[in-house]
Amino acid sequence: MTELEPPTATHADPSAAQQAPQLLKARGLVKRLRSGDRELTVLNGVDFDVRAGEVVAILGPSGSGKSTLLGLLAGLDRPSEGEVALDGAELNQLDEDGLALLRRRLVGFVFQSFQLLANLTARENVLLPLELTGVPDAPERADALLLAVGLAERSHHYPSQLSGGEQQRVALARAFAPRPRLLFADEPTGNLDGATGEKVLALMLALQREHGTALVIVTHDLEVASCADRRVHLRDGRVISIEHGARAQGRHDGLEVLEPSPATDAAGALGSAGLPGTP
Amino acid sequence: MNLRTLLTLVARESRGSRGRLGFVVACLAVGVAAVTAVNALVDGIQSSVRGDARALLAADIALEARRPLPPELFAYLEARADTTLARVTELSAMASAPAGSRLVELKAAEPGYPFHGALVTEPAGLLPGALAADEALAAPELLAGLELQVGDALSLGGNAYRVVGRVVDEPDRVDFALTLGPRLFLSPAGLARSGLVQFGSRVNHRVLIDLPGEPPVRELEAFVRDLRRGVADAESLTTKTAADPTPGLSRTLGRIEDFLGLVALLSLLLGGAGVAQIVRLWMDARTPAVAVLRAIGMRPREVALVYLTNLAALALVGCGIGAALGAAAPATVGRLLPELVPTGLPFPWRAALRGVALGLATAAGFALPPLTAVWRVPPARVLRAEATPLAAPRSVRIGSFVALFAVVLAAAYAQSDRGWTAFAFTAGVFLLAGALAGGALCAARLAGHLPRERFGPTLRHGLAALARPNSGTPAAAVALGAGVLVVVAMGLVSTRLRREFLAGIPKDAPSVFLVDVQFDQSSSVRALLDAHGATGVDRTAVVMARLGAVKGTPVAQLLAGSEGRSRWALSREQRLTFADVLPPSNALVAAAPAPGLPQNTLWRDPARTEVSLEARFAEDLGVSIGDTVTFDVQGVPLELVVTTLREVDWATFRINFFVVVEPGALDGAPGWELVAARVDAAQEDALQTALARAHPNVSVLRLRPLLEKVTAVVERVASAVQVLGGAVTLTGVAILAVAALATAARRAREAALLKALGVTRAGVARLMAVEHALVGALAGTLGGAGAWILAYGFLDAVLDLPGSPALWVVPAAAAAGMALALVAGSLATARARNVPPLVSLR
Repeated sequence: MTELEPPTATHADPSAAQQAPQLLKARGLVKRLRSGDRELTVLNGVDFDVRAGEVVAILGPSGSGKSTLLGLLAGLDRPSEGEVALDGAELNQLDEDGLALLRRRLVGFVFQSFQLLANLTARENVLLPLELTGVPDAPERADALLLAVGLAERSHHYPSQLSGGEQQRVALARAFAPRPRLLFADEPTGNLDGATGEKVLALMLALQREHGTALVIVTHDLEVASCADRRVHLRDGRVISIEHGARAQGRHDGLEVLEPSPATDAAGALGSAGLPGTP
Repeated sequence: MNLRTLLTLVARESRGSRGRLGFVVACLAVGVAAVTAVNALVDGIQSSVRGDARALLAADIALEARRPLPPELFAYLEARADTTLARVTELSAMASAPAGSRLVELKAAEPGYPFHGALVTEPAGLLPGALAADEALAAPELLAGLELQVGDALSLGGNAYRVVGRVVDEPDRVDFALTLGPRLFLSPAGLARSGLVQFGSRVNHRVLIDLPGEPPVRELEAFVRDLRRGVADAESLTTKTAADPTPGLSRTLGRIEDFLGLVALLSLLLGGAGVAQIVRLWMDARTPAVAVLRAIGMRPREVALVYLTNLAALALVGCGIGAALGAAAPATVGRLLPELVPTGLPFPWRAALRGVALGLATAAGFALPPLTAVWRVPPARVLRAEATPLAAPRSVRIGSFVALFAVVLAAAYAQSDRGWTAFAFTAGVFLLAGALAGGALCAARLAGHLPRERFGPTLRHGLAALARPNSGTPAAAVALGAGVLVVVAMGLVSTRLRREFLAGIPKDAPSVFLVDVQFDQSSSVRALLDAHGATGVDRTAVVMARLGAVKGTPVAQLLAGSEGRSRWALSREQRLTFADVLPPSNALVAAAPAPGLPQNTLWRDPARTEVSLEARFAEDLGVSIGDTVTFDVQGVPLELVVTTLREVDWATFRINFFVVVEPGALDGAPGWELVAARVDAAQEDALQTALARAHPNVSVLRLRPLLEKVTAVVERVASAVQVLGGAVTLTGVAILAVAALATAARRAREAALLKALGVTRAGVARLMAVEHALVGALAGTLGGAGAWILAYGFLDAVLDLPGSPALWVVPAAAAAGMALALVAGSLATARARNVPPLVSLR
């Protein structure tokens, strides 16, 4: 298991993060879903920004719209209203093929339920996005990543032959393989026990730092969120607060933990970073 | 995505679904085996039926005339490298012996005759072409009449000929219009030696043409067309081809070919429906994987291409297996039923390759619509399983259906070779599928509106499963229903055809015809018939005549532009008869108005000389009520007005006539009596001998060999229909079972959930059984009703066999569909019932 390095000041310093180029910009996102005869507004006017190399956590209770927001930001789904620009490309302007090609080029995913392809071995799962983009050194890259996540020995196993933690490590390797500029993680530790979850999280952050990838994590686990540069709190489809996170505070076991306080929760975040028009 | 990546992905994708995809291979293997087998069998049977047809002509093509054939014809034929010729000359002459003399029908044939069929002689193996100039082969009735034995001599035109053998059967003696006496075969040199062929003698000159191999109908027709273009005088020759030795026979064969082609195509489409059903289930099962592939950046068309390629590989395997199995069919059937398919046929490459091509096209065509599911899978499904499905782009939706339509159309065209038939068939298939889906949808709606609370929990669950949104009921009903439809329609049509064939020759059909009975011999002949136990004696006066003009236009002028049946109708020698009233087994189909007269009155206009024509014959001549036809009755023109058209039931084999003339019109014309009677086979020889002694001019025509020949062809065709029907029925049942299995497999997860909710295994089995039974009954009812309509339409409109099939097939099909769905369903859910309840929590 890779030991985590202490976070650098750059990561912890919001102003430093703001100096990085903007990678994702979302404005006025609304998502309405039909459920039987009713229409539910799952997201209601959300703005969201991500800068290169930044780690952002989206927090909130069940049903607050976290995963829906992630889907819209990643171009997996389309908003009912509002706009998302990813690396300068307006997602509304793209058709399904355009979205697919954009995801292929820029985006990686880690899911709560791993979402490995059951009929592919661990190595083939990692190879898949590389083959799609036509990377010449795909096998070498896949092997290096599997080594990095500690699964070189088990690279020819099928997902069903791997533990949950191992599957999520394969998913990490697959997500980082094409060197995405932005990684979306939906409850990446949600299906794992505490210890395994911590290890997977540490690994993800290590890879994120190594590749300089921006990371958007959806979670309801405060411990996971504490690793983020910014924490965006959602409730009932709205952003209720944004915390800037000194990732350096309250470290233990190689993880940095931020104890959220009502003060930061309520006021500290709003207007300080990430929102449009704020310095 | 480059080819290598595609193939890598295809190879990997196939891993997870090998069991399910085995279905695709099985489905296509069964479907392609059926198509290949049917095509190979049709080819085999056609070659044997065609062989029969060629035997009836003893050649591929025959040209004949009442005058010496023009030298330019032989120059033309001999210039063609692909023909082998044999000249045949026939004429009537008197043969004498010490015991008396008889009118015989002489036939001289060059070596080569018969090209097809066999001349049966005693001793065996004698051929007219190989006879010496003073040798002859005689029919047994001639030897009996002249009290001769093989080895004795008879005299022809003052020259002696030694009889070296008996002629028991000759292949091309089916047209008895010209038969005036027993047969006597000579060699061409022997005929020349007789000195009987002189200017003015009534001689029939014929040239038999043999073409290499087994020329298809098209080639025969092309040959005749070329001939008519190449030889100035060819228009006036009577032309017969193996494709059309007698118009009636070729019409029957044509219908049978249509029927078999249609059956083969339906079995193929049934396989296609199976593939569609499996692909749909495959896509259902792979939805999560498709969502992941799309999320990580694969375009829908790339995902679809992976699945389509995967499917193509499987289809190729299935088609290969199917073609191999199907190609073995003619040999297998030939071993079991040697009279149906000749043994030693070459490997049916054509049928096998055609089977593979049609199978691949069908697999692709039927796979495309369910593959559009790839476009509908939302990538957001990786986050939420219940993410709203996307709409496939209009181009994809419409394109996939256009492709399917095009594939069915192309397959139909490949099978039928006729554009309009192919289009009508394709439209019919889509309408039927639409009707099945619509019926199922209506039934599902209806199930939704039933007051389910009143039923027990088991039935309630079954009905709910039928009615719930996206239940797959319409798709399952279409697949199952289509299977039931094909099987039931096949059964109905082949049963009816077989019955029709076997009933075609009635038990009381006459076995002998007496030709040329003079009117003053009538009572004496009758007495002889009675003495030999003849029954069903039927006597009719006959006057021979030729058509002179139709609606005032001379026939010679009409012949120039005519083809096929119409040419045959114009040029044949007509037997005219007269009758006071409508003969039995005839029915009027059109008549000139005659107020005050009963509807069935044959003669309706006292002011004019009337004629009644058989309806089809009138159609071939192009005449209708009120038109005139002029007959040349041995030199005397006779103008008649058509006042009635009759439909004749030829299947009775009784004496019937195309042309019936008003009594009185033929008074004074030279005629004779045609007598039909049924005589025991054992009495036939004695009757013949007695008649030959008492009335040497009367020819006895034994109908039995001819009837047996016709019956053999008909029997062969009937068993072909039965064998092919059986093969397709098996295919239908197999694919039906696959469809039922696949449908049932959808419900595996639900079993786990039900068990988690506390339903016992037996309870789950009952719930599912009710659902399968309902879907099966629905599909069976729709399929049975569709089959009834299809069979009714096909029999009535295409085969001209009116009368509705039995209605009980609909409830029977419903019961069978239910039983099949139950069996297949419980087999398929056997594993599902054992799924631990925990599965539902995962």
